[in-house]
Amino acid sequence: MIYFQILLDTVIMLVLCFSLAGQAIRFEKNTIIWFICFHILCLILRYRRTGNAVWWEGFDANNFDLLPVNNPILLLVLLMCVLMLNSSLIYSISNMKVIVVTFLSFLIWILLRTFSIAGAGLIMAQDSDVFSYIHRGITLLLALMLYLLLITKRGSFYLGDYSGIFPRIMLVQSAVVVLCIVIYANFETSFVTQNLLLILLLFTLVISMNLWIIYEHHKQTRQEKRVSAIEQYLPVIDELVSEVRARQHEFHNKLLAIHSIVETAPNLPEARAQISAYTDNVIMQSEIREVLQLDSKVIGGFLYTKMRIAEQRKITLTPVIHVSFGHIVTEEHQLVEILGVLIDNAIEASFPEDEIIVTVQRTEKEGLTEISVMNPGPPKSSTDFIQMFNKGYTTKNTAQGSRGYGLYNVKQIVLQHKGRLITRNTEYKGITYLSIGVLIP
Amino acid sequence: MNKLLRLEWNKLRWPVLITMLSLSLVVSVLSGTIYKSYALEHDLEAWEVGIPFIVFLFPLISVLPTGWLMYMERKDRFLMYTLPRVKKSRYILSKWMIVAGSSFLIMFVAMLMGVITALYIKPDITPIYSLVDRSTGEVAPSLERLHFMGSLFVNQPLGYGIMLSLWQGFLSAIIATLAFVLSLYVSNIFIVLIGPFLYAMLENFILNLFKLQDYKIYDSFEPGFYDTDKLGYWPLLAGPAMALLFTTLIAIYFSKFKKVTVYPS
Repeated sequence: MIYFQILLDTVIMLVLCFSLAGQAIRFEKNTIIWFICFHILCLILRYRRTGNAVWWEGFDANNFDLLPVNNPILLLVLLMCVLMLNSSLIYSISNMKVIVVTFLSFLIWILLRTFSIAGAGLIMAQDSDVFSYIHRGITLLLALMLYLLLITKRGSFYLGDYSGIFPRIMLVQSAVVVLCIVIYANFETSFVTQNLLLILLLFTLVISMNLWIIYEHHKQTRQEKRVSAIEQYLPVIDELVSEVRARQHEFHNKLLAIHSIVETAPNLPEARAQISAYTDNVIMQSEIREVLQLDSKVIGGFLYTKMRIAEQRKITLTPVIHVSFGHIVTEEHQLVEILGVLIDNAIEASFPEDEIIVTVQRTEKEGLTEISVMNPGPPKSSTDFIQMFNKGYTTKNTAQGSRGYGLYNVKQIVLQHKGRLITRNTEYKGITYLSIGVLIP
Repeated sequence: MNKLLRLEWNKLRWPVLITMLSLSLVVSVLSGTIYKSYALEHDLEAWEVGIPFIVFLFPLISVLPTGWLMYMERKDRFLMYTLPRVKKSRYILSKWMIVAGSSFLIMFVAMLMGVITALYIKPDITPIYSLVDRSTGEVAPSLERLHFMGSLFVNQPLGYGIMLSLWQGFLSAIIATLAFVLSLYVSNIFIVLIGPFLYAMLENFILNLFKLQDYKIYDSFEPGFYDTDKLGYWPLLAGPAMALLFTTLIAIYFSKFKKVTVYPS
């Protein structure tokens, strides 16, 4: 029955669009609407008004194996509709990503379908009644494997946001070329089977080229982020070190003066008072000492910057770090992102005279590193904590644009490294504190 | 108002001019080439056989160069900047006039260029008649009898071409108005730019399903062999009227029921 073919086609497109957009398929309103709309669309595009007594006999059966449509005009309509569905129903993806995801879905659809037709052709005759169902079944299987790879195994991280002009142009171009080939072939499956070797070679080339472009771009983006973090925070710590060195000479003089005070003071309390008054502005803040002792200059510089920002708001930021960053597997720029989001959120939630405590320590059992940021605040329920990590969740003013992605991004980094999120209500110096952190390798 | 109109035109002039010139070129090339594989009775038919693809895409062509303007100004909150300087209704009216007017201009100029190419630039065709006169048994011209406004088409082809180009420009403006109304309330660029095209497709499908194909906006855009003796002229107004009705319903739905405001609130 042709309806079953349309149903399979709908499921395949749903799986592809959501996988490539990096969105898990959940039984929720948007996904159901997407499914129903696309399904109705496929039914409409395949329906031909005939004189048949029963309506389901009006479905066109010819040349729908490569795509859910069989002519260029309907292909254009389908493409436009999928663009609209993806932009409205796949949560929070940019306009450019909608275009790339839509074209890429069609591209991957055709590639998977071609391989499936070739595979099914090896085990059965093309004119067999079940041929259309078998190759659709194989396509669905391949699409589900892609979903498993991209969503369940978190491979979509390697696709990034399809950012960069070059990968976008290449991806859309590849899709357009493959669609043109299908239009040239008049949507006929026989074209695939007759030119099997050529088609398989060509499409394998297209897949390999696209994978290579995506991988290279992702690598480059990571490199750029790393360099950007180094460029941003290294000068800060260097500046701090120079400042401390410049004061070294002054420290020597002060030491001599302290020696003289001890020698000349009539008694111990007098000496203590004089030394205390003299060294009041000399002793280096313990927080700065903590930052200077870090083995990662980037993170040291970053923490120092945040300490200055907190200081401007009359908030104290205290780093308590008992770990060497050299042993952490997670990349430095990702650590900066995690710390940045957690500290920024803590600063925004704090008031003047509050103290924020940043703790980085190694857990003995699992060999993971715990990064947590504590700020004073009323206790929260577990549901509240879970919601905080959802995409788009924010307690702040959303008028200035989209917000609520910070903790969501932290969650993505943690999931990527198979780490854990840590949230707890705690007490420090008799004040209730909220502690939000991560456990990462 | 003049200053406002000029200001809006300055924002749209390049996309409009580029689309107008490139579409004029495409229509001219199509009108001057495709006719060669057809048996035609009249030069103006070369234009008719050249433009079906443009006719199919007209809801997109009308919207793409202009529909983004209001969407962008709502998105980047430029509207807030205009608020203390100009009355809301005047600003929206001036913007609509330029959007609809530009769309009209693009379609009118491009189609007229096609007409001029078919009538004066390409080589004259050798008429091939296909209608057999039952009394004499000889082939005779059929256009005057069968074509929409046959007498005008055959005897004053330029007049027919100008008239139809104006009408097509007017229909483009109606479709651009639909996109403009969508852009007033919807924050999705794809719905704004593709919505009118899908509306036309859906209208086409539904009317075909109910055997009311004479009322389609596509038939109104290019009447071709539309039979006025049998159907009269008013079905040609049904497509644009339905589009306007749909536009009004969209505006009412968003403003009264969904309570969406054009200016950020």
